[in-house]
Amino acid sequence: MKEVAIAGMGFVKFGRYDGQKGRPYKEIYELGADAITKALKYADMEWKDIQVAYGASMFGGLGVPNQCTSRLGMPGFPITTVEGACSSSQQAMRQAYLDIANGMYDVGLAFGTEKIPPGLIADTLSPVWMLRMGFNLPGTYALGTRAYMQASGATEEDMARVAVMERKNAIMNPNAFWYQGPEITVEEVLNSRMIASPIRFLMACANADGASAAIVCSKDKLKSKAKAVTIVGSAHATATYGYDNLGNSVREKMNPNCTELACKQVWEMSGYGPEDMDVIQLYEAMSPSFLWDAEDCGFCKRGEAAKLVREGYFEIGGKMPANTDGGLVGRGHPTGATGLAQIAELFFQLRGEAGPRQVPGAKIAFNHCSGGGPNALCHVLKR
Amino acid sequence: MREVAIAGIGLAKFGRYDGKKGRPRKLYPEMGGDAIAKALKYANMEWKEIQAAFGGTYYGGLGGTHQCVARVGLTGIPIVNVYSGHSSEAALRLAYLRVALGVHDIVVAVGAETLPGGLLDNQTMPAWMRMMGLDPLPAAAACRAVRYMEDYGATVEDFARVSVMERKNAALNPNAMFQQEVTQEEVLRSRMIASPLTLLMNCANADGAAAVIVCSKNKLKSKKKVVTIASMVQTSGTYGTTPSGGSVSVSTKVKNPDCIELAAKQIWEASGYGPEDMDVIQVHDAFSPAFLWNVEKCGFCKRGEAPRLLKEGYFEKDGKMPANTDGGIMGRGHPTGATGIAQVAEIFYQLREEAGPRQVAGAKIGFAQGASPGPNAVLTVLKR
Repeated sequence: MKEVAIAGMGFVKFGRYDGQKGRPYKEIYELGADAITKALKYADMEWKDIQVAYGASMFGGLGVPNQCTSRLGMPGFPITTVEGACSSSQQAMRQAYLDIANGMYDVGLAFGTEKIPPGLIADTLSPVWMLRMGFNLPGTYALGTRAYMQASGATEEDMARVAVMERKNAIMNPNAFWYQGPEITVEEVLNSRMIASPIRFLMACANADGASAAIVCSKDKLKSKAKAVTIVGSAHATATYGYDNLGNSVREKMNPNCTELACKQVWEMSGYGPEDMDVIQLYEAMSPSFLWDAEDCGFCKRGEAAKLVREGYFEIGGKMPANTDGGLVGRGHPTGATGLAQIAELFFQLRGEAGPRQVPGAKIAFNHCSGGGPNALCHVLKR
Repeated sequence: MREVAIAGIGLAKFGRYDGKKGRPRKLYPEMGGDAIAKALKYANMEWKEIQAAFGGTYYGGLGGTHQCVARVGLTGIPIVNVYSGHSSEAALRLAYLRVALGVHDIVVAVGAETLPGGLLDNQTMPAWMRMMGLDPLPAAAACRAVRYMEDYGATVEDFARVSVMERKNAALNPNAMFQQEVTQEEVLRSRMIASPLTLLMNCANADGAAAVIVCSKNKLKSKKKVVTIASMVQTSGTYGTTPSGGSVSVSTKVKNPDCIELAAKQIWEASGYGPEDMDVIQVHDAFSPAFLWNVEKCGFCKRGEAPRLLKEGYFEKDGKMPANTDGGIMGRGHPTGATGIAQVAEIFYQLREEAGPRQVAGAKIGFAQGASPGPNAVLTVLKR
């Protein structure tokens, strides 16, 4: 297999582009095209260098990737829309990675773009009867959270602490929804509106608009070899028997879940283990899932994550800095663009370009992404 | 790249599964699951042998493939929902590529659809174009049909002849939505949808599913009459084309090749075959005039020649270049996400000599052309 590098990443600040309250208005395809343009510029490449594209948008409709690329020029190369719910754009990157690693193409583009309606987002994965009974996204998350609290002894304060940490990181990230604050406290989180007990408003990610893009290529196609970031592990897993379409266990756990499965594969493939990582990204559309993700991915033992959060283990400056860009809770969650935004933060960290969020000397990074289906994607990046 | 074989195919009969007028009620995940089970049976394989799944539905919402696969079994394999072309041919191409490149050995591709009635939402167009009424697919096709008539002297009778031929073939295909023939008069006298296209020149919204198992040749359970994928290519729009695949320039004689012409050029180069080598072909025609310009774009005749050849019976089952022997989209119905694999399925059955009364004698090499808004094109050459 060929070595695959990330040549450039582009990002449109996560926020609202709805033209209301003095905010700018942008169409979903403009956001996507802007992110692609920035990624090309970063990579010092031209549009005609691209040989294949994988695009994603969870709510924009299936033709959105074609709409985005049309704004840069109609190249005739294969443009494939990939959907994996909230993991969509990271799935797009994995397909481009597989093409390049196996010699099908040399330079590929992956991108995700999203404009999300406010309020509860549609979960078309679940059967209608489940949705009518209240098993929507926060409802299902809440059940998973309750089960986790019982098994691990984690408390609502622990979940609030995750949100506080992430919002603190987001303040330093100019691309984040919650850039420049305000900072929040554990009390504020615990006193915020109840969404689905025990999940409160400030534990949930913000619906946001935004876009992200990555140019991936074989290492020899990089315009500059300085600080090259390569993909050394890539894995994708889905449900095993006993899990529902949002990844929750329908009864006592009997099989590894998709995150555990994907992690096992990515550690094997990369030859690294959790202890080797300098900076990590964990997927948490609601703050409690940060805790069980850290455990599922092997960064601590079962039931230990809450204690480690209390001790500052995952903070910038801690032993295992996580979600340094604010995570989903701080960065905002334009679903189709989130997977590559996670990768972008690790890319900037490994390149030493994360500004005030920089983890000194970061050389190896891990990403966990998940989405309804369920899907789990894990990647290991290395400088 | 490794040689990739098709181990098995499963189809759920195309039609309506809405529970109305005495029809059964089924949703696409169930049909998709059924199609996968049939493909496994055909391939004589077990579900646990499958290493990855690609697929999709065009209108079924999120995780379409996951929902189909969940009905067969949850084994943790990578499942990717893909859309491009009417989703399933692009899914098949990724499945093919992953086996050819050695990432996996045995992969399933599935397309399944439960379509709403009436005009379909064209999500490849920006919102403002849809708001201005540039959206309806039959209207876009009608504009192109008029252009084609002006450029090449084609007539509405030619368009009707496509529908007549395909419905005749469909009557011999138990998996087709339509089992009855129509006459040219019936087609011409049917309700006007978008002038000059009447109802019977438009494809029918249908429900259905299709699944295909591809594998490296050494994983086949039986080495008899092995059908391999000689080549598969995918392209997107080129400068001068619109999201629905039409041309923004004033003439269909535009010099810049569109995505179908580009893909045809690529596949004839990549496969080492030419159009003249094909024994049986599938052409995408969601609207019957598209049959005519698509056979031309793929190189089966010169521009403007298709209407005359059609009239002479060139594309009939016993003609020189049998096309859409299963009824094509006019006769088979168009459950968007399932159509791409259904096209390849017919070529597969023809090459395996399992097409029953539709069989083209001695067919050894076949071709399928998928196309859809975006625009995207996916072309396949199969050989025995």
